[in-house]
Amino acid sequence: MFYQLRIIPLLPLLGAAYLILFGRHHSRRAVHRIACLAVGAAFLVAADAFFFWFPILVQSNGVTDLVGTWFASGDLQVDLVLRMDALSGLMCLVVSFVGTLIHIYSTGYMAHDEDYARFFAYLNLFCGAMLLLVLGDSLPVMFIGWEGVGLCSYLLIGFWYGETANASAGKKAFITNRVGDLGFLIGMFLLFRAAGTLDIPLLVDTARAGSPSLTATLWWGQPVAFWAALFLFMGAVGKSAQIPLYVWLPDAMAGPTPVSALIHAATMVTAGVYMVARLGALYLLAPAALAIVAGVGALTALLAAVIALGQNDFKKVLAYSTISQLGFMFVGVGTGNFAGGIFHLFTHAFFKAGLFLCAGSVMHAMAGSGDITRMGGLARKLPWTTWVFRVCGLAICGVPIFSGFFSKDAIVAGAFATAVFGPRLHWVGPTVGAGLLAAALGTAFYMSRLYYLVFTGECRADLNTREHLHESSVEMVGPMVVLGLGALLAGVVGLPPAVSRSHGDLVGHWLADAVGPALEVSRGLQWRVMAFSTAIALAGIGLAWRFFGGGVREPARRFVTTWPHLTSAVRGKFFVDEIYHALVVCPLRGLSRAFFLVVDRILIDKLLVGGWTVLVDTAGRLLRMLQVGDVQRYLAIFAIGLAALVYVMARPAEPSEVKVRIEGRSARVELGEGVAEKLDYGFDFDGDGQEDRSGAAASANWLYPQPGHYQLRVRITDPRWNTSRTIERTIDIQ
Amino acid sequence: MTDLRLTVLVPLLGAILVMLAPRGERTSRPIGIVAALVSLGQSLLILRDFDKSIGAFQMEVDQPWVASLGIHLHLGVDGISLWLVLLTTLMVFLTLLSPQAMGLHQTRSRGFIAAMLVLEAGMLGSFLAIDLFAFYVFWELMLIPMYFIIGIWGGERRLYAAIKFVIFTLAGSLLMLAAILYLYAQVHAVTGQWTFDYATWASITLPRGPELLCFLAFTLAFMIKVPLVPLHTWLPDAHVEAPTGGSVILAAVLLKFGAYGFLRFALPFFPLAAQQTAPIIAWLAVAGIIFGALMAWVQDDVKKLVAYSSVSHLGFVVLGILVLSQKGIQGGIFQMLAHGISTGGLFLAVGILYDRRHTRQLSDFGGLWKPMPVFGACFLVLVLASAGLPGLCGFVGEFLVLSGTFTAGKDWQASGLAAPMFGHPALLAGLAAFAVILAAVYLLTMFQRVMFGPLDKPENRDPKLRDLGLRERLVFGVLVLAALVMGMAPQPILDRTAASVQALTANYRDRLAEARANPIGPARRSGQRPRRPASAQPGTARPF
Repeated sequence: MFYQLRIIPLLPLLGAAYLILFGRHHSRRAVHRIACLAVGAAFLVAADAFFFWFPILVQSNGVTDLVGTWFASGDLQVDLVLRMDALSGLMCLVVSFVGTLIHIYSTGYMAHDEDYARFFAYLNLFCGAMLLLVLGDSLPVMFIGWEGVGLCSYLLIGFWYGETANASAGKKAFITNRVGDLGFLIGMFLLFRAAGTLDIPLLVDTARAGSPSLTATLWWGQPVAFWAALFLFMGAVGKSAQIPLYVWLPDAMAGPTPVSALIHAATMVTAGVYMVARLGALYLLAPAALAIVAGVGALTALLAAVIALGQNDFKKVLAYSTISQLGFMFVGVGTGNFAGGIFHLFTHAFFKAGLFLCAGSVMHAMAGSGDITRMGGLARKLPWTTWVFRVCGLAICGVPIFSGFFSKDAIVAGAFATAVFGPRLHWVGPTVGAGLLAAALGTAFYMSRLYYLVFTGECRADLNTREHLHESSVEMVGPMVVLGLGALLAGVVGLPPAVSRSHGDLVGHWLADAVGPALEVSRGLQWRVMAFSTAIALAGIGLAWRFFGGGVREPARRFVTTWPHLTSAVRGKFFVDEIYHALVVCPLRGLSRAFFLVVDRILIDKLLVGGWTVLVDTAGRLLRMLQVGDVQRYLAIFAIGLAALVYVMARPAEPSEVKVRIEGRSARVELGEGVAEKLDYGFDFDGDGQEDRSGAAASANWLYPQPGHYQLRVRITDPRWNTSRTIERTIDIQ
Repeated sequence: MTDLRLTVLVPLLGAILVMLAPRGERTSRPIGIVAALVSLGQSLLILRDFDKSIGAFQMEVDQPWVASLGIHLHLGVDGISLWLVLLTTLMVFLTLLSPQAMGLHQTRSRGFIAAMLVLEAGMLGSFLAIDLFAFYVFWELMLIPMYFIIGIWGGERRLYAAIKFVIFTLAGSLLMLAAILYLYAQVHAVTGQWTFDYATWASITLPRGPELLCFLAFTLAFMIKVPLVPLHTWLPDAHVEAPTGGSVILAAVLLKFGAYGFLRFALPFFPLAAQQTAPIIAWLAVAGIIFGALMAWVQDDVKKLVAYSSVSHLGFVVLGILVLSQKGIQGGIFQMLAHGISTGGLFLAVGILYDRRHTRQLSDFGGLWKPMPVFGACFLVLVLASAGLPGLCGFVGEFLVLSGTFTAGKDWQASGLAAPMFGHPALLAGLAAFAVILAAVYLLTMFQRVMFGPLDKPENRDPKLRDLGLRERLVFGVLVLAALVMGMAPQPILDRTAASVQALTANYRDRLAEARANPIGPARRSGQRPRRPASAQPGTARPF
């Protein structure tokens, strides 16, 4: 069977186009049928293509589909080309599968929303853009999807635009992403300048060959590969919500919950991890860049896990949890353990989407409120939701058998075992590994806290809400259960080799061709990490039970009273938003305002432009004073002008130069031209006071009787004015 | 084969017909729309007949005008002007079609439509003329109808804005006229002919000093038109006061003449001076990109915001051109077209808002998506196109310009010539790329304040606040479609500009190399082919 890969993103894009144009005229049922069909068909096509081509995908560069040239100019050519290899195929399956489930879930969750068609149009558009991002085989094509998903994220966060806070959250997400995209653009330009292409396979080949164009030093003693990798990582930091650009993701929870599950947990936010894995060869050329990736990932994993401890909004906890888990993935790809990072991305898509759908189900039951201090004891009312939450929660905590356990351990073990950093940076691996273990403790704690506060103990909601508690409808529960099963079982594709000799690390084998061979981890290390992380997970759960089992317990209260500042800082998310606002947004806006008022309005418009008009205006005013209709003044000016004219015409004239030529004892004086009037000249050659020659002739000759110094005097008289002038020269006669 | 003389003539004839028709919109608008439609059809015919493999002028017509002075009505089209002609006819057509073109004035529509058509003739003539005299005549012809459009159909401060616009433009173009007259004499001194012919002029090498002066005279005229910071302050005033149709044409087409002038005249005539001053102008362009974006951010008047965004976007065009490479120039041309569609569309959208609400203050809007969803969707596409979202028209131009700037040093090395004295082209590109963030900031802020938020102001709940009508839907549909097609399939446009840009850069490099070889030569002719037989003696046709 032959497919053109373009069908996969095109199906949801066409669905979106149809719904945008005609969706308002269709019934709800028709709308969600079209939307679900578009994504579901994309999933079927992707799955069929993936399994049909599976042998090719895992053993070669996969299959490509060249749609055409997007744009070309000079030496730059950008082809609209798609590629499915093991990596992009796997991502494609995750995106379209989770996407389809969430479309189905949304038919229940959004059933009463008046903008039904618009919601599904955006959701379809998102799936199309995300599939384009995943399949795009050239960085600019990937960038279409990259910005496209950002756009959908913007639209869906601000879906309920009637409240300014929602719209602002969407705007914040888009702009923060754009900060990262600036890095993505510059990274692309750097790669293009160095390698002359933006096609991903060509770039990867260039990088794998260790081409000097990429290893040449660029700035500050670091090679081109380092800077390109770093700038591209800046894009990943924006899209995948890492330090310092993570601030948009918690706000993004303003969108409908299915959106949070699909875009802000399972798919879009993992695009950064995917991109780094895709360009893994480039990162391997620059260990320092890898160290930065791993370091940022580990720091983010820790920080977000800590902030999640103090949040009281169901979705906010999950948002920080997502940021933290993305940090885990970045540590995976940042330690050269690309398959590990992608494996965690894969399992995370199931359990985090499942958790978000549970959140949606709970909030649905709680009349839209996500405040966990008002919940409690929901396990009895929402049995299905509770079970799914338990499975997904245990997966994210890293309890053995569940999928998250294997993927998290693959990353942690990889961090301890990796050798990509070289001798100078070898300490990075164990450090980030230790950081992840600490973050894992936090994860187990905050996730268990969430579970205990929401599902156990007594219900703290008001009576009205309590009476309306109900399990969600089947179209919502169905996808949740499927995702729960995924969270339980997805780990089998990446069992550690220590556990299963024959079926160990399947993901690593599949991805070997796309992202390079899997990291070698010794059996002993694998067992040690597994044992240690199991202990940590159980410790976290146990501790959370001591604090929050069945509601807030005494130790938790005591902790708050003992450490008031710490808890308020954690609850306030360390005030990062406020700091950014005070340090970046306000100064920049103030600067713009000042620039507008001072530079644009006053300096340029008033002084530079207005200055000319003032100049012309003043000159006009001054000249106007001459023209006031006063005849006497006119006559006076006329007389002055006439006198000036007469003087200029008839002023005493003078020769322009005096030339003296001496030949032997004879001398000749010539007065230069330029004198039109008749003048009277007198020449005294020997300086005795007597004029030797005189008259109207402007030149004269004289023969000296003997050599010596002589004083030469020339008198010039203008008879009209009776002015006279004398020019003196000293001459030597040999 | 199309006759370019007709292309210029049709709008003029249309204008005359409109003025002959009885007063009132009933008859004059259909005549105007038909004239504009015929023009559009003609430019589509030009597009059909255009041979993309030729870099030189095509479909030339050369008709003597004032033969004794060497003035010809010499018209021709190449890859640089082709799309601009199409953009002009399209935007004039859409403007006349749009019910809001005259702003709130519903009177004297006959004059307005005639003025628009005369303006169209002037714009088309300027793009097509390859005789400097004819170019200058058309160039000034554009000024007069625009002056009336702002001055008669404008807002409260329309006279101030109209006069500011005219004085600014005239200041530049009179300097250009002086340079044209000097060049006219120089061309005669070198070739012995009194001629305004473009090709002859482009083959003259001037002495260093006069070259720089003439370049500055031309450049000043073009910098004011673009406009580059700090010569931009006429623009916000003109845009705010002009009626919607005036703003649309001003943004979509008139501003492009600055950039077009650089490409068509300043670079080919004065290569060495262009080379010397390119870094300064490029830095000015980057300053304009950032400055315009920051200024747009703090505006409270929607129209002023869009006007300042124009300053920012056109900085990209100038930057791309001044980088003097294939990518940069092609990107610059594409950006001109994209800006014409997106910003022209944004001004139309502002016109709709003004028509519905009689205000342009951001604080007066909010929540308008609810009553106007179709408008909202079109507005959003145009906003995103303007913000340079990949897949829409704004991205390709920006990407090419930025990558052209980023790799400028390498490109110049490859061509065997030292780079222009750019300190750090990568730094230029990096700074310019900040517009990617800033554009999102000011455009999304604007969009949010207009369309999102609660619908809490009673005026905005007025049932008269209706969504787009049929004619408006048609206008916006065309613009949205153009933005999408140009973003998804830009290659047909780039294909047709490639040969001409290649010819331009190749010629530029040759001229530069030649000028370098003779550092302080006298005025000389460098072209290989004499345009007239050598027997034409100096002084055979003295005009003065």
